[in-house]
Amino acid sequence: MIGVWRSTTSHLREMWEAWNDFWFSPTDPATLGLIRCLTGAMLFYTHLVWSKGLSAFLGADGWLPNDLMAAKQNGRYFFSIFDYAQAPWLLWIIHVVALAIFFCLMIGLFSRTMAVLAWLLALSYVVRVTPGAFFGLDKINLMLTMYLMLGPCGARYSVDRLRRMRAGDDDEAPPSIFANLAIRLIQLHLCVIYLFGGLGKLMGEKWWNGTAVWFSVANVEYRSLDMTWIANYLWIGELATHATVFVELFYCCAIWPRLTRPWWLLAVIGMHLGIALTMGMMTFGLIMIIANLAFVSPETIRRFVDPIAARIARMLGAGRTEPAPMKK
Amino acid sequence: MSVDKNKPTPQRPAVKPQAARGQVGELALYWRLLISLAVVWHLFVVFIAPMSVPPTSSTVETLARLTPVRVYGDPLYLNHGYHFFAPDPVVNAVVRYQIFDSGGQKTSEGEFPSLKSQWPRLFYHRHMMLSDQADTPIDPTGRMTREQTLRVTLTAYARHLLRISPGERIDMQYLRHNVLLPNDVLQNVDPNDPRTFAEELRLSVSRRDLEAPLAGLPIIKETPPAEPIPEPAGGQP
Repeated sequence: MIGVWRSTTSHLREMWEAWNDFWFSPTDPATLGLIRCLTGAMLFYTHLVWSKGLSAFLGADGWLPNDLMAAKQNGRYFFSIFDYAQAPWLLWIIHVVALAIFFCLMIGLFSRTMAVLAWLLALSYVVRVTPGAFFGLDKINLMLTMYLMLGPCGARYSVDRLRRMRAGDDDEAPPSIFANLAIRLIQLHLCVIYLFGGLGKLMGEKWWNGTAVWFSVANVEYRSLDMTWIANYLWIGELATHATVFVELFYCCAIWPRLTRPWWLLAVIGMHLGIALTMGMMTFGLIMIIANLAFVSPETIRRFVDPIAARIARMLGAGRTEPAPMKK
Repeated sequence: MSVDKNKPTPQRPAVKPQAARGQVGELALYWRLLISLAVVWHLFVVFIAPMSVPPTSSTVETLARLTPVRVYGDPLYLNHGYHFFAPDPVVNAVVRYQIFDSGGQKTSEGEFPSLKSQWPRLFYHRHMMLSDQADTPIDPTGRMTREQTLRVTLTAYARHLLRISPGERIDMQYLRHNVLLPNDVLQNVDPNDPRTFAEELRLSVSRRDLEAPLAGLPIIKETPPAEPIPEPAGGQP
């Protein structure tokens, strides 16, 4: 009996250590910094495009008027600043401020504060058009911005860092528990997204009979590159259909082991690039690839991004002439 | 491409760099416990939302509609199904309209989505979502038919167009744009051939109706699911 108790407590202790290690190990904030920069750019572009139809999409008498949205969102605990500020001049003031905030997040000026403000504002835009004109891009934009708030997203690749360097603080950005926490949450959220992307497809006949990719690429409204030549080689579409389900369904398992992670990353990047190029969803494809950067190690990120960051720092007259060595 | 070397995986022993080792404990135990609880709760809400997309079990449906789940998930925008292109790829809809003056003369016409008039691509895509999500159920109990939902939503679209255009009346058509089959493509059928469009609804709105409340909106007391999937459209190939 004592043996059972000891092995149980020992197992539970190991589990707690593994949990601690998974969530509370400090990590280099390089990955989070790059995700901040790219998500900021996506937020800026996504919302810049709203400029073309600000009143039409967000105004009281637009495509989605207040009474229709009140019925569609009934029972939801939603909040949008645009439910209260609907005069065109006020819409534009908020919009310009929002664009400035998204730009600041992209360049990393007052990064953490900007992440909070960017999330609140991006949420206001998307809630005003949900349901009605939202899609996957908005979900991932919001998801990434939410997790950026949790960690030191401006510790690298940011104006904040440049300002510290100019002030003579050349110390490396320290590893951070909260950078790890933010990255872990992005990773697990992605696993849920792909798992249910795959499970949802299992309910559809076309994902089973291999015709789903055909019906996606032959759809005129989505098409940005004519892929209907695969009518001559239907096996290509069928293989792509099955591969899509397979990759999405097993992402949550295959993305963790060291052996399969690079392959699964390549597979999902290929899948999203394919969707971006052939189905005209460049923004959605890019934001999914940005989210998947959460599975790339800070060392790899630094190997590619540090030289660019160092060059920009030199151009702006700050910091070292060479990138700082990576801490091992 | 390198993998996350700092993190342990099931296939190798955990090897942490010296910089990281020992810093796990930097956060006090009570903070780690508190954050752990928050993380478990957060991931539960992230998971239960797509799990509750119909069809689902009554247990999951009940869990997803619990007030704490909704109070947390809705404001954080976590209530999503993530069923991208599922259960089957969508068959898109196109909305066409004509606006007439008081004498019955056509003053303008248009359609959305339209690559000719809506750019950049993301702006076009927003219009595509307007037409695609026009049949997203408003009433979670299903008391409102798909046609009633479409009629209410399209009336709102028509009113918006009439407000920003000179004219007395707008006629609007909701057309399902069916996708060509491989054999059709091999026989060089035009993907925009009129036969590929199936009219699902036609309505008319006059300027004098603009100030009236939007008719047909239900009074709903039930909680909506995470992300209602529209009923299969009649024009699916």
